[in-house]
Amino acid sequence: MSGLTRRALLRGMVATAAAWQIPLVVRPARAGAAAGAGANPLLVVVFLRGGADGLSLLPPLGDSALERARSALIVKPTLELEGRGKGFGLHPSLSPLAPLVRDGRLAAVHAVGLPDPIRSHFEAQDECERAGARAGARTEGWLARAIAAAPGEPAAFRAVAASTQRPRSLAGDPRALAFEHVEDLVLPAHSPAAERALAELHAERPSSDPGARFAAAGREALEAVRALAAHSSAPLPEADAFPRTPLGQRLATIARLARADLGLVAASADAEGWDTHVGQGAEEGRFARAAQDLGASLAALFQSLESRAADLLVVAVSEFGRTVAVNGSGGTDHGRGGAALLLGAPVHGGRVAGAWPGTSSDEREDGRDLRVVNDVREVLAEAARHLGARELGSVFPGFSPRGLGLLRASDSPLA
Amino acid sequence: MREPSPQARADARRALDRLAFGPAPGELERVAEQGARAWIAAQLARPVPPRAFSDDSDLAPSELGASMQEDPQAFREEAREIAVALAARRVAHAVDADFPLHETMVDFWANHFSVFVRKGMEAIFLASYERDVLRPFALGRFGDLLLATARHPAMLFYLDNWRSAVPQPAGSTSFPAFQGPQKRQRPDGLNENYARELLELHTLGVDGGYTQRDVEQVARVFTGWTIDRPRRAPAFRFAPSWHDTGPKVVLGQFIASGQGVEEGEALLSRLAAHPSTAGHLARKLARRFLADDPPPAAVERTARRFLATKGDVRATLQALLLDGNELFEGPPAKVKSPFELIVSALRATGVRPQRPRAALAALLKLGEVPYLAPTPAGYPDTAERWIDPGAALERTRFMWMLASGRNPALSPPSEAALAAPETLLAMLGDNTRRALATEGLLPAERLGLALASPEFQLR
Repeated sequence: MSGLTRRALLRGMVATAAAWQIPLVVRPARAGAAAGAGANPLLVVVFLRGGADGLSLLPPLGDSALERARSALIVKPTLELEGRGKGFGLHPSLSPLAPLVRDGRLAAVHAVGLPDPIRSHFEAQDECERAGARAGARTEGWLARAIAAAPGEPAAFRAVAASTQRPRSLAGDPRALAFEHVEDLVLPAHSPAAERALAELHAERPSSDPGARFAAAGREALEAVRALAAHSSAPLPEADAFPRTPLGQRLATIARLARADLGLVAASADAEGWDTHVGQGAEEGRFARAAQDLGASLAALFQSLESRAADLLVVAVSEFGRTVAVNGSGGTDHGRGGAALLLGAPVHGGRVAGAWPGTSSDEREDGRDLRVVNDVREVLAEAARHLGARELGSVFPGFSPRGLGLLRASDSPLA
Repeated sequence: MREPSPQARADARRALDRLAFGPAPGELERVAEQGARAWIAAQLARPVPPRAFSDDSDLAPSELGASMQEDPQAFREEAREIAVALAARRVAHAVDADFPLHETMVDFWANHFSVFVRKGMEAIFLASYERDVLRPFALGRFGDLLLATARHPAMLFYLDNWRSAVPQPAGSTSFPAFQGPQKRQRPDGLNENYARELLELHTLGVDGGYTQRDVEQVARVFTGWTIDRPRRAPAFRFAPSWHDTGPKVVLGQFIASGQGVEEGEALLSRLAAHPSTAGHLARKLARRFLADDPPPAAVERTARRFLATKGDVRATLQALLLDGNELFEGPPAKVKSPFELIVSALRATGVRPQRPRAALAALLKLGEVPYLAPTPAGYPDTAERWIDPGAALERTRFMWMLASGRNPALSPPSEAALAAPETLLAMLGDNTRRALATEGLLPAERLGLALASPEFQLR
């Protein structure tokens, strides 16, 4: 392991304990934690909703076919990453992530997507978040399955979604909490009688009772409220400076929970604004605005969670990429291959992993889209490995990840 | 006069829960006396009220478009006000519905033909979209509704079709297509956003049997369908010079060259009458009115009627709701969406928002504000997407607040609701009965418990 990681971890623990009066508890490394998983792995999945244009997020350098197809959208990058025999850049709006790039803590996968040619938002997101729903009859999300396959006990705040609705990736995890603001996690009832009554209302019911499912959700909610109240009588740490955008505020919520040592293992947040059919732009425009939000929000997350730097892996994926050529409205339409990002100390970064299919007309899928040559489940599998999930076959039914090698072989600081 | 039987009351309750956002005070008794089936038949026979223009003065788009260019910040604030007013009005219409099935179908179609108020200048078009498209056509012919959405600036803008044109041959110069102050640059080619969602969401369904090639061909058919004077006096306009007049093949059928707006109109008629569309809509309607996994027989029956009546929405609903008995069978199995939940609670308790935002804050937290669905697919309609621990807590918190009578933005609940909250529930499980019997509860707490109970989340 690197000295940096240990220093960061120890510094973080002391800082956290001092600032927030949390008892300093060093958790022992769990027996059997898989290689790649830190002592207390923390995974944040950011879903870029709408189909992010991978060719703008991660533009291939000196690509004349691409320049012919979309001259108005060609992005001049400021940061570069090495691919397999091919150079790539990062969109300049992601420059807040420059320190991660310099430290080799950012990796990307290009031409990534679903094996099936799906260009519908809804269906592609569903397929991506269930990761194998088509292969089997599984209805759970991949993240719910990954958490179930990871070591550790179920707990109220083990998996959260910083959103009003639970994303499909967490479907099937009855405990996964979806909420936007920590302040909302309090009971409305103040009298002891009302608290007793609420517990009774949500007590276990026979499964034949149509209200059983809601009661179960209510029980989990009451437990989360209790866990939060028991954790500390002081309010949760304030988040540091996050952008005042929906994504920024969602990541701020996740950062607050992660710093409070409530046992958070996996969190999900959505980033919107990637469906750039019109006025996509290059260094400015719709895409640049979405990328700027992403870059600034992720940079704030890493800043805020410096104390958990060794634990934190961020994965950003989207349901598909977009057409290689510009459309009639200065935008791009739904395509196939996109780009995914992995960020954090556990990442063996500084590069673009996987194969690259090229952008010329005869290299495209259906003559229009960047070909999918890297399965998005390979990216999700790295995230599952980070959690220490064993038996990835159960996480991705009908799929055996080959391994992109994007995680450092062993970064477990307490191993 | 004889009391209605328990079965008659149960049927009335079910009909009101599924077709009317739950009973308002006294309504259960009235419908039970009339008979649930007779009440549904009467709802299906009622004419849609004439368009109401009078109460739209606060939503006029005329000034708004001008401010968009001159003062973007002011525009954003006005657009927000419009969004709030529209959403609050939808809640108010549903809560005090004189013709509840109409409101339910407006909600259904607004979600089926979903648009997003926060996109650019979308707010300008929305008052008209609801008034001129969703409300008048909600119980008409599906094909008419489909055409009305396709031509409306709200949809043309939201799904970008207004910026789609046949690509110009290389070397030609671009001219502004329109004269006057609203000169606009001619788009450089296709935008396939509308074409795809038309096939996937509005008509055939994602497994409805179309290909990526069909999407591109449909996009060519709709080139030139654009918005005239979007900021001043928005209206549909067909721009012949933007239209691709070449021959096309859509879903295996040849479309001859040299046509104009009529080929898009003909395509919409064809899509509206397609068996895949019938199946897609029958499934969605059955999911709304019956169950997350509706009985296949009911879906098939509904789809057949849709096809046989050329998309007559009333006849289709008649087949779904009255030609079988599924509506009245089994326990309440549908989880109310946040909109349904909040409207049903306001109806049941007599509580009324005193400020437009009062009910919207809760809808925002629960994730279902009208015209704010983040994708063109609209909001989900299955329990899986609405029930999780965070949602359970948020629902409980809102109901507690509503029952307390302490929020100045909400009027206090009725005496009747406070006196007998258990009567607001369609059924009463043992846990809820025990919870309501807890010693030391205040009347407002008992009402909050009843509204937060698993039973009240169901319809």
